[in-house]
Amino acid sequence: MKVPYNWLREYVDIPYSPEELAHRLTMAGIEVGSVQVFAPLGENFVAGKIGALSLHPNAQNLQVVTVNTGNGLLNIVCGAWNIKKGDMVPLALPGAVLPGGKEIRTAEIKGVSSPGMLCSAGELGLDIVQEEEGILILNEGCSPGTRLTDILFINEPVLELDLTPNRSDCLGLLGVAREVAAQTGGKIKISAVEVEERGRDIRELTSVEILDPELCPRYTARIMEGFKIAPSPLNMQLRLLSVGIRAIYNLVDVTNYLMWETGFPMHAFDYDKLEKGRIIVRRAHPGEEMVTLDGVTRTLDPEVLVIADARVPVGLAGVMGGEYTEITTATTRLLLEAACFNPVNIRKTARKMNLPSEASQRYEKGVDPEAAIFAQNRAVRLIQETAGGEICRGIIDNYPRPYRVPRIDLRVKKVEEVLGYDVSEREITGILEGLGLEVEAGSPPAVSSPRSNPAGAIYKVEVPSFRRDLYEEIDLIEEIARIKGFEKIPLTLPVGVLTSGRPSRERRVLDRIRDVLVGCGLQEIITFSFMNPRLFDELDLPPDDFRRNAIKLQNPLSEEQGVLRTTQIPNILQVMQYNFNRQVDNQLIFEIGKIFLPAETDSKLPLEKMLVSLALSGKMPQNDWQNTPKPLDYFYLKGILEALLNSLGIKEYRWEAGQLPFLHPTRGATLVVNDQEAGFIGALHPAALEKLQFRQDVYLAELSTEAFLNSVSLSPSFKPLPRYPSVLRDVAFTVPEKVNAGDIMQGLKECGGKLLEDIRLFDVYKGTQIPQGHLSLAFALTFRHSERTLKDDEIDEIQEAMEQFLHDKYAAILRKL
Amino acid sequence: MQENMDRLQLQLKEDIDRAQDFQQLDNIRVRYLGKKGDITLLMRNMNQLSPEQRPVFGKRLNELKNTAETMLEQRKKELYGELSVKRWESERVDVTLPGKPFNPGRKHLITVVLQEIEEIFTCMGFKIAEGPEVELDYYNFEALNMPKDHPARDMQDSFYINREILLRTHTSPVEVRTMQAQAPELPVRIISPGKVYRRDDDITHSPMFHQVEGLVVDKGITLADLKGTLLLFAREMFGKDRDIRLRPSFFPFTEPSAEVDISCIACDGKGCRICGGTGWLEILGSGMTHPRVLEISGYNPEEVTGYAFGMGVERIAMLKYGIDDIRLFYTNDLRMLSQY
Repeated sequence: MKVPYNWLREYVDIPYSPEELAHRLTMAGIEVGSVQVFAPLGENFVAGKIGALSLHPNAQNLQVVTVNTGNGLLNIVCGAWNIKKGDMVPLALPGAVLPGGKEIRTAEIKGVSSPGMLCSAGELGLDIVQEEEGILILNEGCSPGTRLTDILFINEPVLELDLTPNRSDCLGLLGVAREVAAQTGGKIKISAVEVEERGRDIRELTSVEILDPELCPRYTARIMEGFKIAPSPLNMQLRLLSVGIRAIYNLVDVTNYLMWETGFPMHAFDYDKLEKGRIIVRRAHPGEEMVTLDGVTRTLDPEVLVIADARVPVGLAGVMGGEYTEITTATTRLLLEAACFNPVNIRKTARKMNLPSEASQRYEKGVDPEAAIFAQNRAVRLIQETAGGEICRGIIDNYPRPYRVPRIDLRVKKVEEVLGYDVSEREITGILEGLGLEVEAGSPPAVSSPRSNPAGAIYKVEVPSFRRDLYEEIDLIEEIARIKGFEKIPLTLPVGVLTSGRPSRERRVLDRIRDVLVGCGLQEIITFSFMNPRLFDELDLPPDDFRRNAIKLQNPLSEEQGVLRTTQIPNILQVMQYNFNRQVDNQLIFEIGKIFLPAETDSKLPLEKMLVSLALSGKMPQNDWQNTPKPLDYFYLKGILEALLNSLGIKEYRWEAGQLPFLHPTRGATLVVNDQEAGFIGALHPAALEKLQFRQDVYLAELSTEAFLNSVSLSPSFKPLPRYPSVLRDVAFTVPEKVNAGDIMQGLKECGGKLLEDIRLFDVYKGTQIPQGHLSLAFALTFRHSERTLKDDEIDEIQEAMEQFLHDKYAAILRKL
Repeated sequence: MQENMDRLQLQLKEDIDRAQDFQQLDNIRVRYLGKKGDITLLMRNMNQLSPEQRPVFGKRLNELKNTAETMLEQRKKELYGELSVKRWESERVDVTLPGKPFNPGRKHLITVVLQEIEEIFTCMGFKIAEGPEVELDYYNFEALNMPKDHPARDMQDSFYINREILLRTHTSPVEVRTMQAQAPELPVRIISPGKVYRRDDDITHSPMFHQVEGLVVDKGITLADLKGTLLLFAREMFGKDRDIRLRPSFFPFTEPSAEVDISCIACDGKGCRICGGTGWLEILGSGMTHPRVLEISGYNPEEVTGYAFGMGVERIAMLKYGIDDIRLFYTNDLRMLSQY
């Protein structure tokens, strides 16, 4: 909402500068986004009166004009021909700078000196409508030499309000004026309008019927005739222009002017085009058609409220008029509408038709029903002033749902209870009355001091129709705080019993996971919870994979954000792609976030699961002048997961080879924690690498925290430190290639029993020393007894048992080292 | 004999002086003092001397032995000094060569800021409450005093799954859920951090972003308490010199409502480009919990009051770290993320 400062001053005295007003409004909750000057014009522009005109001696298309500047006569060379003796015109004197940046100087034009320039509207930067092209004729009464900025409504500071949805009352300057008055204690300067009616009674000419009062609580109409359609007076045009509305001609301009003044949208119909001159407010019939002002044929349905004549719709109520009944230069009689409509219905229609307008925007938020008559009278008076004509006798006022004044109980004690500071009763009544509310002491009557009566005083407050956002006690308390000023609120802290703010166990687990992964050198990323469903195809996800059953958004911003993610892998791969394309070749990343799986029925909320997803690609970080960098691989990633599980205190887990989504068929495994599938790890499938145009391997893992949350031990209990020395033994076995190292280790563990403290695979060898189809696995075994020193023959015995067991079960043979 | 010994001492000194390393020195030691060494042999031959000669020679021989040992030790020290210089030279490292590169990972900047906000409030005794990101219309809107067709719903254009289910547009539904689960027990003192979603995408809007909302419900909670809490937060988050200012505003779920500004962190309130010359930066929205919201959530607004606030984590991060495009957070450019 644009508020021209000087226009606003017509309705209320403003003891502040525009900037100060902006600040005060902002601090009272009417946020002013900016203050900008409309049509800024500098010095040296004055009104000049045309005297003698003569042809330029050396140029046929120019004339030399004698102009009275109020300070003497000047001869000005001019190329326009719309001026005549006696006209008052804008004169730019030497030193004046046109809005385009051109500076006016005394110039020799074809041998004649011209100490200035007569200006057109365009040269002054004003987009207005004129009867004739050429020099702007100032039809305002003024004397020569007056500065243009003193005559025209230009150089106008315009406040741009960013209104909250509850303050639709400030969509009219009168509303803003009331707000200013509430702060200054001033009065609104505009009063009731006298209308001089003549000629026929309106009831002989028209009737208004409201078929759906819920959608149209009030409809008023007036009829005028005998006016002259013409461009509006210059200053009215400038006012409209300053709020962003381009003038058209007087009748339309007046309705716009009134809308800006009162916040009440109005519409003028060509009365003679209304079938039987009648107005019927009704829902549209199914399939009914109408051409709106913009020339578009609209197909309507019963959800749409229309203004119809006796036959067809002539306007979309509150949204846009119809083309057929539009005011034209041929119009001789008009019917002026000032009506109220149901905000929700208007909003729906405006949306459906994609027709947001200044009018619909006001109707959507609700207009003041009590302002209709005032607006009518202001409008017809203004039309008469600008276009002449006569106002028919009477006004039609169909008001099936009259405004009921709410009476709100306001307890003084509650004010202090909510705000946390004392506001005196005098202050309370002062503020509310300043806002135009009626305040009377109710029962129980106010006792001398609220402190002597625990209940305190109670006021009955009546709210006028222009503040329909106030309808309960808390609304009034807010008004009191707002006008008193939030800067007066003291600073205190809540007092009460102590509560623990410690994060839940689940959050602490997630924090630990994040810390461990960061410690392992991984960068956390955060991607959108949406994803592109086409990526499932790109990644060759099997058609029956549960991840394909992703929840669709009804109104996504784009196909790429079409569904809620069921895995974080596709988004992570996109991040990798983005970074590869920017020469980031080494990527160690992870994301902790939710996925969304459909519930059994649509009316239930989806299942949300927390996943931890990791991805690696490139070289190991130990890349320096001492080491040749090795590529990151499956085991690097697995090591990170093992470190993670270890620091979460998870002991019972295993890796099971298998064919898994997204993964290389023989380089993937399922992580099983406590016999429950917890996620997967592996190399990205080569086909996917190719589709994504990745030139290096990518390793992925995705774990569901739900699966292992219960196995996490954040504070494991203390194990006494060993008191006896350990014994170290290195053993190596030749095993057939098909045997998994994990099985061999499991065998060693079982044979070692509790004396085997640790087992570490330190070499995997395949080559000439080993029979074909076999490999050698070398282990460092640590043995320890908690209560005594172990003897060599005890360990020999265990080692023999290991040898025997692995030989029998896996055909493994102990190598002599 | 005496002559013999004098010659031996001269010879010994000559030999020792000539030794160039520990090995040579050790050989000399063996040659004179070893089992078959010259001095040792002389000592062994003492019994051939007459009883009168024995004490005289014995004394002289002992002196010779001691002298030999002293001289050897002396030379060893000298050699040690000479050899060390060579060794240290051969073992020199270039201390300016780069160290072993350790590349610790980083948390995402949003996590960093989110955790900082959480820390400030949890230290004040606020419990972290969480809830679903895909939410019922009831919790996201209706229970927050935004019935269907309420114009305020337009303030937050939403992603819908179906008529009743949408991606939450704020974390306020968690507040309703928490109150409903806890009522009528007091106090409620929570923050609800998390992802939220709105249909917007430009340099200041992301379709997914993070919020932290806060809620306190108890007997006697006032607007002044809200202001005090937020000042404390602003100073913890942005430094002890920050001031705050509350401007009246409108949210359907609070009344009175306020936008909260902090004095500009770039110019300290003097007015600059960052704050658009106003000296103030808007950081959050807040207000007194609307009585209807309390009622819907199971509390009697005649007995308790509450305050609530909500902030965008990205907004805070952008201000604190000088980032001018919200979309950078979700591009996940590793060159950017590794800066924090």
